[in-house]
Parts: sequence; C-alpha cells; structure tokens
Amino acid sequence: MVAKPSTLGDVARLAQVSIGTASKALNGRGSMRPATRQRVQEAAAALRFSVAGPVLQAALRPRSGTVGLLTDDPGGRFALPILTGVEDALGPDHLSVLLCDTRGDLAREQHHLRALLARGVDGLIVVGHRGDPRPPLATPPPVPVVYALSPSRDPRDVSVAGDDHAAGALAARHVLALGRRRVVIVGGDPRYAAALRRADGAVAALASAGLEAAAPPVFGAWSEEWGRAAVHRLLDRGTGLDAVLCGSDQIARGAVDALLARGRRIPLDVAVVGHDNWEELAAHASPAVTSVDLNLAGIGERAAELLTEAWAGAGQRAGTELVPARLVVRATTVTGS
Amino acid sequence: MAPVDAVVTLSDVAREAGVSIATASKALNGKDDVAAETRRRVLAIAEAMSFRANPMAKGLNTRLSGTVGLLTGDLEGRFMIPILTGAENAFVNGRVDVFLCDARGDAIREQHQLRALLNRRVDGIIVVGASTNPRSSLAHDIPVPVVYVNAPSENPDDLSLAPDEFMGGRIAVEHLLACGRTRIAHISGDPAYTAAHGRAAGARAALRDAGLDFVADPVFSEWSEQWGRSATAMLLGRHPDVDGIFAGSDQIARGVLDTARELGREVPDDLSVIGYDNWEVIATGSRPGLTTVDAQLQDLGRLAAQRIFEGIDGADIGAGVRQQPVRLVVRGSTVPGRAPAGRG
Repeated sequence: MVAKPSTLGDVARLAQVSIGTASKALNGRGSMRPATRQRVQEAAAALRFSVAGPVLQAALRPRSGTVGLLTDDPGGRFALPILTGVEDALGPDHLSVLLCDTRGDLAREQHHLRALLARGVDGLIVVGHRGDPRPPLATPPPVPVVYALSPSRDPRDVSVAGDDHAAGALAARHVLALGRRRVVIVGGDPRYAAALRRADGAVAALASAGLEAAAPPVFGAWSEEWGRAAVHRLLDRGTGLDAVLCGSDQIARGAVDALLARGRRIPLDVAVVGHDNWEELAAHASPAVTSVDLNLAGIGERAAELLTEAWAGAGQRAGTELVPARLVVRATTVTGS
Repeated sequence: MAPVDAVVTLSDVAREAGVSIATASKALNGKDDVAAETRRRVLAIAEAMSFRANPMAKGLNTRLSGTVGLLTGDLEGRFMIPILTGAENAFVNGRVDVFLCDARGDAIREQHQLRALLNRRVDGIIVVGASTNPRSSLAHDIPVPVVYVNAPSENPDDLSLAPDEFMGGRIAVEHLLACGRTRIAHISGDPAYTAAHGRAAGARAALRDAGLDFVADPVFSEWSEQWGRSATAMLLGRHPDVDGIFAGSDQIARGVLDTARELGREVPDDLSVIGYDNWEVIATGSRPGLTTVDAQLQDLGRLAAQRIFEGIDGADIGAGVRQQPVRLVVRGSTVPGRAPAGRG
C-alpha cells in the first residue's frame, strides 16, 4: 500500500506550529525565530514533504489577484509612479493594486492593513516617501511584504530602495565631465537621510577627482525659495562657482532663478543639476532642468517581482536591494539638450 | 471577514436582484420609472432579506467605517490626491478606507479595475477624471452607488460633481477688476478641454458686467509654462497697455511671470497675474507667489463619499452634473503695492 503523501498540515502538527507558520517557514518568508524555522524544515524533511508539491503551490498562488499598497506619501509624488511600476510588472490582466494612504499615522496604517487583508490581498508593498528606514509593520501580515523606497529597519524584511549616495555621485560626475571645477551643493531638508546621502555621494565623487566643493554643502528645505536664497547667499559671499548640485528639482528652479537674476548664463557660466526628475517642474522650466531620475517605476517593478518570487515559493531575499538612478540631461547643463 | 455590519443594505438587495442601486432605490421608494416585474422582484427580495430602509439617511455619523473604491484616470495625482483625501475625511467619527485603482484612461483597464473593486465588496465607487471633460458612463447596473468627480459622466442618470469652471473664470476676473485693472487679457490652454472654455466664458461674463471686454481675443494652446512665456511675449508686444493677465492654469501663469520679468514689467505693481488650479508646488514656488483659483477638490471628494453612504442607506442621491463652488486664493501676484521688497 502506498503511503499518502504528507501534507502541510502534517508538517505543522509535527513542528507544533500553525499551518500559516509552516508555510512561511518553508517559503523563507515572514519573520520568526530561527529555531522555529529550523524545526519546521526538519519536520518537512522527516516527513519527506515536498516544498514544490501542488498543495503548497496552491496555497501560495495569488488567490484574489490583488496587491495592497500602503503609503505615507502625502502628494503621491513617489507612491504613484511606484504603483505604476508594480502594476506594469504584475500585468494588467491578472492583478490589480489597491492603494491606501496612511498619512504617516500608525493607527491608520494598522487600520488600512486590516482592511486590505480583509479584502483578501495576496501581497503588500509598503511605500515610504522619505527614503529613511522605517519600522516594520507592527503586525507581521500573513502575506508576503516588500518595503519600497523606505527600507524596513528589520534586516530580515525584503526592501527595495533608491541609491541616494550613488545618485548624488552621478550628478557630480556629470558636471565634472563638463569640465566644471567649482561645484557647490545646495541640499534639501537635512531631516531626510536622502538629502544627506545625496550630498555625501556628490562630495565623494568630487574627492575621487581630487577636488573639494567650492563651499561647504548647505541644507534647507525642498523648495524653490530655499534654492533662491541659498544661491544668493553664496554669491553674496563671493563664492566662485560654475556648477550647482541641487537636492531636488524645486531647489534647482530656485537656483536657476537666482543665477539668472544675478546675470549668470546657464549653462555657460553655471551648470545646474536638480534631483527627482519631476517632469512637470524640470522638463517645462526655461531652461529645462537636468535632473536625476530615481527610477521609481523600476523600484515598483522590482518590488512586484519580489512578491511574485514569494508567491512562487522561492525563499525571499532578506535585506535591501538598491535600484540605480539615471541622469536626464537637459538645458541647464548642456545647451541644445 | 466582511465589514462588521449585520444589517442588510440596499446594496445587498440590489446585488441579489441583479439591478443597479439606483433602480433598487426607485423600486423601494415607489418611483414610477421602474418596470413592474423589476419592482415586484426587488420588493420580494427586500422582504425576504428583511431589508429596512433608513428614510432619514442620518446614519452618516454612526457608520463607523466603510470602504470606497476610487477609480482614477489621473495618475499624476494632482486632482486625485485631494479628492481621495476628502473622501477619506468624510466621516468625523470613523474612517473611510479608500481603495485606489488606476485606470490610466483606458476603458478596458477601467472595466477590469471596476470588477476588481466590486469583487473587493467596496460600498461605493468614486470615478475621478484628470480633467473636467465629460466621459462615458462606467456601466449599467453597478450594484453600489457611483459618483463621478471632476470629469462628469455623459449619462444624465449618473451623479457627477464638478468644479464650477464658469464661476472660476468669473471670480478670477472680478479679482483683477477689484485690483483696479481694466485692460485685461486671457491666455489659456488646450481648447479641446471644457475647462478652457468654461473659464474663458466666466471671465468674459465678468468683464461684460463691468462694461468691458478683453483687450485682445483670448488665446488657447496648451497647459504649459512655455506657452505662457510665448503668448505673453506676443501679447505685451502688441498690447503693452495690458495691466491684468488671467492665465488658464498656474503653469501658464508661471510662464507669464517669467516673460513679464524679462520685459521689465513689475508684478504685481505694474501688471497683475492670476492663474488657476492652486497647484501648490507651482503656485507657491514663484516670486511673487501666484494668486489663483482653487477647485476645492477635497470638498468634492468628501461630498462624493457622503453621497455614496447616503445612497447605501437608501436615499435618492440624485443625478446629473452638480457644479460645486470654487474659491479665490490670493498671494502676491495680483494686488498692487502688496509685494514684499527683495530680489526676484
């Protein structure tokens, strides 16, 4: 008589855990004590339970065809392009994405999480807006989770973020390639790790070329007002400058305004680089602003791919994956772009 | 785990009977335009399910939570985000979960998203457009209340809430007149947009009421800074006596400001400039800050969510396009003598 193949339930009973925990343990997803995970894996081995078996596959395959996206991004500035990337990767015919705005409030986050789970989402993507690490969800959900843009502080979680340091270096190397040598950095709000990392990246790139910034990097706000004020202040102090690396496109617009008001020609006298590649602001300015694109859609796509891997039963890769930025060259650095 | 609410709703009845919520409501409220057989079926099902209508529809504050699906064609978020925020804020005592789905202006995709939302058992659907151009109705017989916001539905049986563009144009010009301006011009965007015509019509009406007209015919091209720059250069070249410019959008207005500065015209002392949209990023970043018109999209979102829950409680939420008031937001670009001193 052929023995009945072991089920996930058998494994769970032997390991003395719930079926959900057993499933997660065998998938390498969710957070649990290593001892627990090991116990489940040993139970599965003892019962010759196959991870690739149809039962587990069925248990893992997305049922509702929906992914929940939780975001605290106030203007949707980052969450919406990421949403687009997620949808494109998942495919329009199969899966749809429900977005919930938590407004940075933990109680709202819990509430939306419950609502999404109650509606049967198969996976969750948690999108920040600051790029700063954030705490993991207070209650580990029973579906795969990927943190996008703001990585989870828990290194066992799966996160996809932009590489702010490399992005800052990209901007610096561009102006160096154009022959600029007196480079200043006008950063954004210093409470954001992204602002500091971008500046660090730029400074590092300058150092690699044997240079220092023409003045210490300054930080303020993510606004045109700040860009304007910072440039006026630098010029008032007599700082010689031939390139301004700005923490955002808004800052860059303000910088451009101030430089033009002070009779500088752009890019002939001073090259200006923004950050974020916010089309409405950067592409339609005059002159149009060279900027660094964070590849938010790419971050979304990667997050969706990681969810798909989790559903397919592949062990999830814990830790933070970085998605590189790219430069979009326009008229503030190269004429005729 | 369905929302904790053991009471049978109108939506449940509609779903069982295979009719739209509007039809179910009419059947139960004894309205005439319902087929006899449909009315019988709806009444029988309502009886069988022990449905009790809430005739006062005052359950709004006692309903602690619900879920609304927001189907948007605006993925930039400029319109959608404030509407979503307003919908979420609709209830003082509890929370409304808003599930956002993006349709990207694609009809097939939109239908797919609609199915996804209905399968998620949302209590109602808000359909948001990226402009105020009318759009086709989503579908017949949707078993939950639907409200169209910003872009109205072409179907007069649907309820649509849209910002009053005519009023917007009017109050923009009335403000310029109040600033003492009399030689007023209008630069606007894509003429394929209802918004362009609505705003221009309201502007002209305000001028006519003051016994005036535009200094030159309004010009229409695109909703861009670049167009604002070019159009202003042409305008001020031909009509240097223009003292007030109503730009059809904040982006156009930024272009107007740029050219005005290049031509040595002082804003606001010499030339008043007003935009439209109150798109914070664009309107607050300029120097001076832009006076503009706010479409009050948050209020539209809140109103839409309220209508949805009234609809669920059995009230007749109405139909047709309801124009909602817009408001003026005054910053530094219009009132002469108010600008702070300083470099531009």
